[in-house]
Amino acid sequence: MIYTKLTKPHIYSLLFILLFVLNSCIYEQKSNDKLYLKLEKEIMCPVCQGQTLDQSQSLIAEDMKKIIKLKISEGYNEKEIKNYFIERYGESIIAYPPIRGFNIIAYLVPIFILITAFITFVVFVRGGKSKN
Amino acid sequence: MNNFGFYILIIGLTLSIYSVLTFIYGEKSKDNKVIKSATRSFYLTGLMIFISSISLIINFLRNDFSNIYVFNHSSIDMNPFLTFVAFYAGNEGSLLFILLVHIIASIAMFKFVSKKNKTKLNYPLATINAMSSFYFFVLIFFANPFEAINTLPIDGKGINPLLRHPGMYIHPPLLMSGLSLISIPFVLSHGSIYDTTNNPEWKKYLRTWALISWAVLGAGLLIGAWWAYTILGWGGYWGWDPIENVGLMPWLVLTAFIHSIIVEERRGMFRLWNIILISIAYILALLGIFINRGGPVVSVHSFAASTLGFLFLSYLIAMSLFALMTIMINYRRLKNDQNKINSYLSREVSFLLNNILLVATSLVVLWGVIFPVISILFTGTEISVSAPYFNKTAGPLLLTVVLLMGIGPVLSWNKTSYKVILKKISIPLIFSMISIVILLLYNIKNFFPLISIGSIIFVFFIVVTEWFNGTKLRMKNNSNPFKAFITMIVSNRGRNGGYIVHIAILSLALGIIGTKFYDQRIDVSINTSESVSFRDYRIHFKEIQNSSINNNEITKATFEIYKEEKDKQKYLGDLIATHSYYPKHNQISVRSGIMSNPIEDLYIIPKDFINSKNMTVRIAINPLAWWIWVSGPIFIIGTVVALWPENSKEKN
Repeated sequence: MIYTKLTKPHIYSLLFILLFVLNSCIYEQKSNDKLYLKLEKEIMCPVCQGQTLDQSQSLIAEDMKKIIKLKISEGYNEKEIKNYFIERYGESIIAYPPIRGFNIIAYLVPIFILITAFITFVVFVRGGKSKN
Repeated sequence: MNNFGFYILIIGLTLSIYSVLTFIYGEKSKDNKVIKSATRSFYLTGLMIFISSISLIINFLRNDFSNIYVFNHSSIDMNPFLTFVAFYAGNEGSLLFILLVHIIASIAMFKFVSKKNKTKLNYPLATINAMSSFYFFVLIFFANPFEAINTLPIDGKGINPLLRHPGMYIHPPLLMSGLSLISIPFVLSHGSIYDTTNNPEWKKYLRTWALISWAVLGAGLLIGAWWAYTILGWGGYWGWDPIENVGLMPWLVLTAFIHSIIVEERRGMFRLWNIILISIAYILALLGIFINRGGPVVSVHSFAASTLGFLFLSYLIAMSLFALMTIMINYRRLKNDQNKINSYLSREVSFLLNNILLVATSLVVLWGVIFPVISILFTGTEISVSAPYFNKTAGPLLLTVVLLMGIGPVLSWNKTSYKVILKKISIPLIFSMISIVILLLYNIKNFFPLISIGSIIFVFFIVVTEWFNGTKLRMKNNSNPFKAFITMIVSNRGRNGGYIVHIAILSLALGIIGTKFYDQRIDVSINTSESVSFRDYRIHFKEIQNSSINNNEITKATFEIYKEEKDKQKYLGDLIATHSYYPKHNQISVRSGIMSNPIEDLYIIPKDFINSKNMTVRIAINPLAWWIWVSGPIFIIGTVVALWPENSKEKN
């Protein structure tokens, strides 16, 4: 079998890919900015249909972004900032269902789907397997 | 012109209903004359749809604002080239467009099927005409694109500014076509059911048409992402918006189908499973059209929405029952496969795993799309299900599918020995491990990107090694490596086209990982002739130009970009970011300035113009974004290779 042979083109192309990946991924932003970017993606714009803050151009979204920045600089943490917005706009201001109460189902069903998928797979293969 | 178009629609409805009835009657009575008449009226239906589309276009070109649809979506100053976009900019026109694609594809499919197999197509053609009848019905009674007003307005409202982008020439029509095209493999699968001779040609038809609709839908999704990236001005390209999701779901299921239909072709297995898959894909596509036409979920795409939700929901339920019934009635015959699974280590099992994972992913996405409705029904509270949810649930599943792309190709049909697998995966696996170690050394510790990049490298080298060895084998009688590579690709188009598409998916995955985990952004307020430094870039704000075109205020900001190296600066070029305000629509549209290279995109989004000298901008660096857009052409090339008809001589 020739598959075991390692050749120069292999090595070159690996180095080539790694060069790109490394060049682009070694920078990380400062932690304060990181929290801001995270919140911006996890809080919805209340007037735009189905857009998070980072996607929205509306004035209210811009204002909310300013509030988030201000709160971060005042030392509020992620949870406090989120609660601040939940108090004003309700639960739907957060871009994902809260992980408690009825809404846990939102996360349980995907797990259930995965388990069912796995069982279906095994049953399918076993049932399809010839007896001999 | 308005009445004319409307009457043509009514004739179309009559013809398509006639065609449904005669196809069914002709099949029952085996009367060739009746079938001939049915076929003729099927063609005539197509002609009617064509004529009514043309008359809507003529309405647009003549600026006939007595037509409400034209009034709402066009204006005198509109570039005539945008007529094509205006045609499907609203609810009525997009429905007509979907119907047009539906009938063109149906006729093309009918021509494509060989004469012998056409006799099995009577029921499927009845289905096709029933689908057309539904659209005619909606167009005539609920969404008439030819509705007229008595008073003649001087000028129309004009086209939505967000649609004035080259991406709009292709994204919506491709997406709508993709969704509409899925009905072709769906009805073909019914044709294959009615053919009791187990004729292999059906599998060829099914594969071809599934590939076509899959490619069109995929290209539509990708171009939509590109449009969002260049014009929506948030630096992203995929927002997990309901409309995007309902396009993605059938695409995922179709991806499963185009794999498992190969298993049916090669091994005579998975027949029932394939019919179920294509039915699910079709139902999901209908769901897509339903949610597009005013379904119960909020979306950023709602500019073309309507109150037709109820009609489409009934249609969706009726078609689901129809698909289910067809499967149940023929269940016994469909479940008998020619072959059995012999080993876990076989290509068919890896395809099965791919299928199940893809369907599971699309169900998870579906769950996310409908959950807000469920939450309101059960608890009365409104909640949002957006990007963070989908990234957490569907993201890992999609990564697993990527990893499977590396395992599938090393397995042979029926059975594979451990030894062969080990030999084939050794180099890619070692490479993937090495790269993970190198990334760790460079302090990249995020679990998800690490695993993803490792998988991408693994899959890439699996394909490369396969091609490398194939080329080498062919070089024995031909010394030119390029020629040998091409002959190798051409010798098995289905498989190698598939590999090319896999490379496109890897490129896409690389771009997603880069932009998702390593993007950097700052918001700054900046004056003209000032500079701002961002990482190793220096951005010099050169000037603002204001202009007014047709009452629309357009502001252009020009930036000079420098890269700071040790002690000198390298001038990279100018970036222009445009901000336009359309008073007629009270809408803002921005065009970001993007400087792109394979390593990263520098991306400038104009936000506010405080005065003629100062503005706020968001500057973003999107690593590896270039790879997302490169995947598009690779994807198309791969699909074309896979679809290219095999020469019977070349087939060994």
